[in-house]
This record gives sequence, C-alpha cells and structure tokens, in this order.
Amino acid sequence: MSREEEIPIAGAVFGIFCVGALICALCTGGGAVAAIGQAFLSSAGDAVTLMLSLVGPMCLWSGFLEVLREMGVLLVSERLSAPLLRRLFPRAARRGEGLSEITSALCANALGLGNAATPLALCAMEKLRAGRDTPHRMSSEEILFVLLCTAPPTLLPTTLLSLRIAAGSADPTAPLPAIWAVSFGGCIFAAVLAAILNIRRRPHKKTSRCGKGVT
Amino acid sequence: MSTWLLPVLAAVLGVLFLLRGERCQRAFLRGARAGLKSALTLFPTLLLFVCAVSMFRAANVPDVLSRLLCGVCDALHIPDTLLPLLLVRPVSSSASTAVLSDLFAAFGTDSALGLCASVVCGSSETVLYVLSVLTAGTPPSGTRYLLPAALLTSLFVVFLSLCISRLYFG
Repeated sequence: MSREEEIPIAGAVFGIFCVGALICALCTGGGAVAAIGQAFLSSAGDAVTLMLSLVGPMCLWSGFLEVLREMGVLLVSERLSAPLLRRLFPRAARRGEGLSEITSALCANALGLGNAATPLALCAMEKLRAGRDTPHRMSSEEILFVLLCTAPPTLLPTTLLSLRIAAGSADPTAPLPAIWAVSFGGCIFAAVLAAILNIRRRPHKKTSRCGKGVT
Repeated sequence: MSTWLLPVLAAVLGVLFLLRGERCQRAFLRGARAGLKSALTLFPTLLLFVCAVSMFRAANVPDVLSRLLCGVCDALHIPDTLLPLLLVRPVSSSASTAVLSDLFAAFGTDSALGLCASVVCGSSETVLYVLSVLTAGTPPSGTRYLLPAALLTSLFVVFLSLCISRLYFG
C-alpha cells in the first residue's frame, strides 16, 4: 500500500504524542520540560538527517524494482501465484473478472511496489464489487481480499530495508526470513479465519449471478 | 542465507543491464525519479512525526508508559520498549517510520530488540489506512465480519512476529 498518504486519524497521533509528552514532563518534573523544548527544535534537523539517509536507498530500490517490472518479473510471479489465488477466489475466477487485478495487486505488494499496489487493489475491489449479490453488502471474496491486503504476503519490505540501511545496519537483510515466515503465516491465518467466519454466517445462501461489470 | 540476497539482487540487476542495457537504464531512471518524488512527498509528514517522537523520548514517555502497562506487557510477553511502535503501526506509516528509526538509534539495528522491531514493521501493514481506503463506498453495516477479522489477523501477526523473532534472534 502507498506509503505517502495517511488517514485523518494520523494527525491525532501527533496530537497524542505532543500532549502526552507535555503531561508526562509536568508529572515527572525536573528538567523534562526544558528537554522537550530543546528536542522540539533540534528534531527538525534530525528529520532532515533521517530523510537524507533514506532518500538514497529509497531511490535505488524504486529504480531497481522498476527494472524488474520492465523485465517482466511481476508477470512471472503473477503466473506462479495464479493457481493458488484461483482456488481462494473461485467466484471471481468463474466470472473471469477481477482475478488478474487481485493477483497483480498482491504481487506488487509482495515485491514492495507500494505505490503501484494501491491503484491495483482499488481496481480489484471495483471488479469484485460488480459481482456482489446485494449492492450494499460486501461479498465474502471482497472481505477475503481486503484481509489479504491488511496482512499481505511480503517478499521485499523495501521501506524497512531502506531504513535499516540508513541506520547503518551491519546486516540489513537479517530479519527477512522471519518476515517471510510471519507474513505468509498471517496470510494463511487470514484465509482460514475468513473461511470459518463465512461458514458460520451461511444463512444468506448465494446463487451465483453472472452480471458483467457494472462500473 | 539472507546475507546473499542483496549481492544476488545486484548481480541480477547487472545481468539485466548487460542483456537489455538501454531499456533497463530508462526503467531504472524512471523508477529512481519516482522514488525521489515519493521521498519528497513523505518528508513533511515524517518531519511532523520525528518531531513528535523526539519530544516523546525527551519527556521519558516510553519509560512511564512501560511502567504503567508493564502488567499487561508481562502477561502478553511483549517487550515494553516495543509498545509505542505497536500502538502507532496500524495507524500511520510515517509515525511508525519515525518511531522505528528512534528505536534503531537507541538500541541498534542488529540487537535482538532492533531485529524484533524490524520483523513487526516489515510484516504488518497500516491496517486502518488499508481498511479505510478499500472499504470506501460501502456502508459500515455492509462490511459484515471484516473489521473483527482484520483486527484478529493483525493481532495474530504481531504475536507471530514476536514469537518467531524470539525463536530466531533470542
């Protein structure tokens, strides 16, 4: 998912941080209040330092991934994951719509192409929405897709790697095997959970309705 | 194994450049330019959160927070220094970047804690952001079991990353 945009609550996080810091400093007393003031001003410089050390790795990754995309690596990964996804989204596969968008959104996410993943995911949602039974109620496949987007499979966490390189890590890729294990475990958990919750709420039995894309 | 990843990726890049020099070069420049642009749009938000996090740190809030919540943390086996990161991660990616780089500066990137924080950040998403973008246009009642399932899944991911990093990095 895109790294630049933020939801409105993100502003509240800043507020909580600031007010929390001041209250905490007032309670503990001592030089804490003075320290806050100093930190507030000097942090602007720190932000620039952080940004400068991040820009290099970010551009390098972004360029590298663009080369991989140009050379069709994304297509290969899509072809590899298609059989599995066809099984997870049988209705979309049967309708012949949306499955390719789902695949490319998840693959772009896995390869760390965050900026490409958001529009693709929205596109996939649009296609899935066209196959709803009731207009204001998400289908189980839509829910599964959103769940997979909130716990996406991750192969190259580019932002994290940039940050570790920027912080001068001796081995920036050290946490990768653990990240692969966790993110794929999360995907499996999401798929199983969605299946269980979906069985439990079966009363609204669906008949497959093959309406073509209403946009 | 993971030490090989970056050299191998670089070698792949080199081979691609040798085979399809011009096309690769154009693609690389396009991608790098896009990266520069997204870094620039990221900066103002990052500035805001770096500012907030440094005040947070200066006022010793993490210590106070972990002392207040140490009962909960001990019960769930969460390292209490990770609390601020776990709290902001679902909400904002810039805020978690700022918190993570603060953790890296304080504890080192390759300490057990730094690695654990890396796993948490690398394997989770800004859940609330993703939910709000992808469900836009559907009334809340139409999302059925999505919200509880998403929250359960992200809790599971956090616990799995804590467990696995404990096994992996001690």
